[in-house]
Amino acid sequence: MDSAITIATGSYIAFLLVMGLLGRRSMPRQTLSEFYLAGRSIGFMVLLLTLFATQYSGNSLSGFPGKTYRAGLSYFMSVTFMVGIIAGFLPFVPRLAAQAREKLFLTPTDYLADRFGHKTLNYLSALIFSITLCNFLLAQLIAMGHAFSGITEGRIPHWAGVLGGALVILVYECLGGMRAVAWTDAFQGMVLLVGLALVVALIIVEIGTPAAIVATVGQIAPEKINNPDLRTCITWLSTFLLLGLGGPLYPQALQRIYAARKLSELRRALGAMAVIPLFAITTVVFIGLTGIALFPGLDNVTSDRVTFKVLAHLVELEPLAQIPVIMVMIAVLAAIMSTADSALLSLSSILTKDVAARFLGLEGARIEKLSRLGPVISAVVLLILGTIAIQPQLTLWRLLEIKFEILIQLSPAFILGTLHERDAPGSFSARDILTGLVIGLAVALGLWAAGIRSLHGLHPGVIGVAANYSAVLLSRRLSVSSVKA
Amino acid sequence: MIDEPRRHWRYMLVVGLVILATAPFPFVGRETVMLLGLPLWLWWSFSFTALLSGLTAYGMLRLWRDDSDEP
Repeated sequence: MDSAITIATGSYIAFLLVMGLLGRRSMPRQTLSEFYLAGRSIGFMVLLLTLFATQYSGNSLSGFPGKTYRAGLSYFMSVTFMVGIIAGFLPFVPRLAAQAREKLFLTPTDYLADRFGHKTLNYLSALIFSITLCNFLLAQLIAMGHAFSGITEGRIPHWAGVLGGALVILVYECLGGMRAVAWTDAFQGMVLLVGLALVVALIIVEIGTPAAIVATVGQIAPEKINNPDLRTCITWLSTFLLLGLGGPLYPQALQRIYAARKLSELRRALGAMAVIPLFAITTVVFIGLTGIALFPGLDNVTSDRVTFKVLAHLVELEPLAQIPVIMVMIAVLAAIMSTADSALLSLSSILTKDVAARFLGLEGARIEKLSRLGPVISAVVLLILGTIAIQPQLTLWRLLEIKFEILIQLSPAFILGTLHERDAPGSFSARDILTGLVIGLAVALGLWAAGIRSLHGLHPGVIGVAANYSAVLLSRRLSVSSVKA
Repeated sequence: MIDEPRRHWRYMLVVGLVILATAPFPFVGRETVMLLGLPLWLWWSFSFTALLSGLTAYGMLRLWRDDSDEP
């Protein structure tokens, strides 16, 4: 089993490097659009799988079963939350996608710059996107170290896993840009879906049906299947809003929307993404429940490794289970790396286009002068975050924990912004959006700084975004009133 | 421009489904009842989540066409 996993891991890394080379060969010319958006040429199947791989990080695979283990059946609500992220695209993505094709947007900030044309809003949004992506990337780098160390049972130490994995990502991403990233995502998505289906089939055959496993859980820990209380329901609703409004704003997700070859293919891919959680997340929750039934009494740290414990148990019961188990183990590693590469590519594009180009005052074709800067920025970002990932600093973690709480504050800029054309009668102005953004950030960060993580079950970010939307609507009303007066 | 009032019922439907999926009100504070081996509240939440999922997929495939389609 050990040597099979080592061979599979080595083969996967070799595959990534080959994809980087193929991506390089398929790039007709070195432009920002070719590098960061694959020349807007991604078709339905690759688009679906890259959206899937980007949305489902290593945390979804190894973290969700651990959380299910601790919370019980109520963690099934993560299925609802994942559906919510796709539902959250509907209010603004149809118009955003059409405009992105017409005006050749590269980054999410490009839309805001085109729609509102306000420097402070541009820089503030670029900062929010960058903080979010740094959080994502740092978390994936740390998880990558743990995954390499866990899969090889310590033969690759954590630090070597972080730095080695980061180097592999850097090489194939610098070679092939978005093409390499999307192709590796597609591979990971397929491995993951097939691996999960096989593992669930094995659990049902070797251990028991979902109903039998829930019955066992009910006997071992009845509180883990009990009806939710009102506060839990409020927290679910708040989490749904947090993810449903914030999740669609992930820059790497928005850039995949820009990168679609056709709108019809994008629509089909997002339509399929709305259904996938019903299978993928239900499966992951089922693995966590199986863990409760098989290994009751695990502590918090050990329960985070419950996926691997269930997989190892399956191999003991059925030696043929090695194949799907190895697939899932590689899929966990691939999920982490694919999320990291997507976040890195997106962060690099924002730092290149939204920060460096705007700071240097480059516009139009002159921006293409920066096309060789992207890989350099990626290398610097990975070097800094890789160093932090080896020895995570608590204060930085605390700062980065709030990513969703601040990302969600950009929601009115996209949802209300896409309702009207710029300068159309009754449209929301940059001042309206900026007022709401500042107030929303102040409320969310103020509550967070005061140590409030939940107010009657509501997240600080959700309270902040309610204040944000209210301020935007009030600001517009005042503007309209003053014009009439 | 999007004809907003015409779409309000769709957003209201989504909001309603979200509330029903995330808040299984009839079961809050009551004893857990099982149906086909699973708690009834889970059937409730799963049903509305599945409806939300189907409606979202329908929205992507059909309603989007109203806003922006390729020539």
